[in-house]
Amino acid sequence: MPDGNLGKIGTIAWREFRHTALTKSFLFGAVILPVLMGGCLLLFPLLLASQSEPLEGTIAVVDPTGRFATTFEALVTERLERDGSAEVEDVMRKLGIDDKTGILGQSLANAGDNDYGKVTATEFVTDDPDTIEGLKEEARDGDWLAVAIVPTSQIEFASTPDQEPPEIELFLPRSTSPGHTNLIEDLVRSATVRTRFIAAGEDFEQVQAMLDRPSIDVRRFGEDGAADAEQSKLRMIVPFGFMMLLWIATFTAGNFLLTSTIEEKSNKVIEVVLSAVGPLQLLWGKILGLALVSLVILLTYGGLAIASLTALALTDLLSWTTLAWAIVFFLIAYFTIAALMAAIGSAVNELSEAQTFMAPVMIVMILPMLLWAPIAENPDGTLATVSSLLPPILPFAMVMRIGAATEPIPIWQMLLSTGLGIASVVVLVWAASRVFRVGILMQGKPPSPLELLRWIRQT
Amino acid sequence: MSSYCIDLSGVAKRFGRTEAVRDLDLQVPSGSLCGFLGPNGAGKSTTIRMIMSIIRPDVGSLRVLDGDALDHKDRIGYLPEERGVYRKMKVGDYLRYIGRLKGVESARLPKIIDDALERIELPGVARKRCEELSKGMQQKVQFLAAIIHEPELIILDEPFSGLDPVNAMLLNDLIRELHEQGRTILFSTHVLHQAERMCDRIVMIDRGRKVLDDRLDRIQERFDPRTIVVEPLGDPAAVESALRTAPEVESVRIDAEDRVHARLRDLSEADRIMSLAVGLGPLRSIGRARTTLDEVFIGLVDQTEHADRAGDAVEQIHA
Repeated sequence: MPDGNLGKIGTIAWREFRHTALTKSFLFGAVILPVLMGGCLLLFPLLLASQSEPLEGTIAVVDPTGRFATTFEALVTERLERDGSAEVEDVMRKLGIDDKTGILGQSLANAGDNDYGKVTATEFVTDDPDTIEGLKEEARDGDWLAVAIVPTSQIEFASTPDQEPPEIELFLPRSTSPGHTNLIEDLVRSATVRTRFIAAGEDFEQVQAMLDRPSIDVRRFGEDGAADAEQSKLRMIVPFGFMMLLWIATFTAGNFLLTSTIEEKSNKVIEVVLSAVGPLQLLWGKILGLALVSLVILLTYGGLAIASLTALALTDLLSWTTLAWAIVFFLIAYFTIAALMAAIGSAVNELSEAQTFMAPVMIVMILPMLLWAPIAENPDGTLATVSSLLPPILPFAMVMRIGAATEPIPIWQMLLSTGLGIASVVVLVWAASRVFRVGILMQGKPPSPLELLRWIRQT
Repeated sequence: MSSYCIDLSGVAKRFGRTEAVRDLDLQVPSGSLCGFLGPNGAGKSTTIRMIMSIIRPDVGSLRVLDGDALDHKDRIGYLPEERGVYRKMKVGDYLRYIGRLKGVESARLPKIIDDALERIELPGVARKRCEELSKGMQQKVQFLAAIIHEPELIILDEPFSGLDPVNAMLLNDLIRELHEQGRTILFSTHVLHQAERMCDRIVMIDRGRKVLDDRLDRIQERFDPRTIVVEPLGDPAAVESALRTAPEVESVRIDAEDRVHARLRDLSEADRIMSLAVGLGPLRSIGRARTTLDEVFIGLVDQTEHADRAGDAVEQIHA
């Protein structure tokens, strides 16, 4: 292709990029908004922690057995002294998050530490209805944090095994928040269970320790024979992230390509442009310009994802090779989508007409989302292998396999998938250029699928 | 280089069952200002699109600037009939974009654009979005986009449609200026008096067929009505009967405005008949009638309609 023609393609590409990506709406919607949302997600636990008041006050407990108050206060003391970080660490370990920096664990633990202030219980060893009514009145006036009426049968549980014991009654002032209601309810229920054990002569802490399900530290042998920590839960999420990243970047840019082509047709500016450049130059200019737009989206979202993984010290999940292959399959995915969108855009006159052609494309392109679970669970299975070699969904399936694979995907499969992907892109771009050449100047009724095939065949 | 900027031979184009252009020969000499005339749907835009290689003819040969228009896009300026602008783009950006696509150096473009906007009486609109301009203003900007690269061949498809008389006159002047600079111009229109005022050559097509192709002066000579028009101050009937007796006069009639039209057997007798009419009494005016392109056009269209009907009848008989 002569230099002049390349220059013209560059001019078209730059116009497409400038008028798509360097606009306020794009910068806000596709770049600033995701960055802000990412920031909000990180700030969310801190905001959550700062907005709740600790629970403080005295609960009046009506307990004819006289055992409740001691256990209750011991429980509150235990809750106050408990360091939330151990629980958080446990949860994170189960999720497979190796929080080496401690940032996430600390912020999550802090978020749960502010729940309790000084909470005490005053016991009323009675079942006198007048006393109970008096306490309720006082609670209504806000003198008590709550009034809990614990029936004897709830404490001496073992004595009435066949009957459902009457429920504990809890009376709260009108102003009690839902969060505090839950905390009070939890304290009363936990204290009741503890009191039952003590009433039965058991050591509660020992029993609790015996009932705790042990945690398992799963390690998988790597290539070098060393046993690395297993991150099975994240191994499921990473491929989904990879696929969604590819999907958002390619479909957003593809959609811009579709609308800009339709706009040029409906504005009647197309013939002016075609008096200066050939249809193929126009097509390539548009595809390359919007490839840059797609790249901006990929880098924005991908950058956010990598920043999150770095914050969680999870960069082990990614390697340079993985990222390089992801770029290869991004390019295959982009050119596949761009060719389809350019062909559809050139064949129709309005966005509403494009829906007819978009429906089958979307049905095919939604398949990778349905394949997420089976591919993530078994990235070397037959379904995963076949779908990663099947155009046009192969780039999406292959990035999911790359993200989920516990051991490297055989290189021949990667190369075959790349080769098939490139071949399918060549065929699709060729067919799209045929459709584009005819369709871009066509007005009136949009073509039928058979007519489209005829456009592709005709020389 | 050939003396023809555009050279079409035996070109035909069919869309489904419709024959848009049939067996068209068209030669546009270099440096000419050629009007391409015809009623709506005659095939003008199809022919122009074939000249621009936007669509390909089914048969026939087509040479533009001694080659294919695709190879000479930077030497051709084209204003399509279906024209528009990027609505959200600023006028200056739009002209710069088209200029770059037409191969104009970036450094030269700002001055070219400023001068050109000044010339079309739209100074200071470079920073406005195209959608902020009126339709007429947009058309002038589109015209500018067509000639921004100073092309040697300019093809304008219905350039005057939608323009008010003042802007039509401005465009008229611009086209004449470009012609005087030596550029070859082909423009299509169905407003015939516009072409008559500007062109030195006329090509007429009707239903895809060429019905006329000649220099304007020759057309006027060929279709001269050989008629003297007399507007008497007195009784037109007396003038009519006096002229009817002259042997050089073939026929005489009085029109609705009491003017007497005397058709001559031979144009060389015109002076003698005019002297005779002057002697018949006081006159408001006297002169030779001139054929307008409208009359030529209507006559030619009638002829082709007759020919087509006859052709159809023959076909039916054979069938």
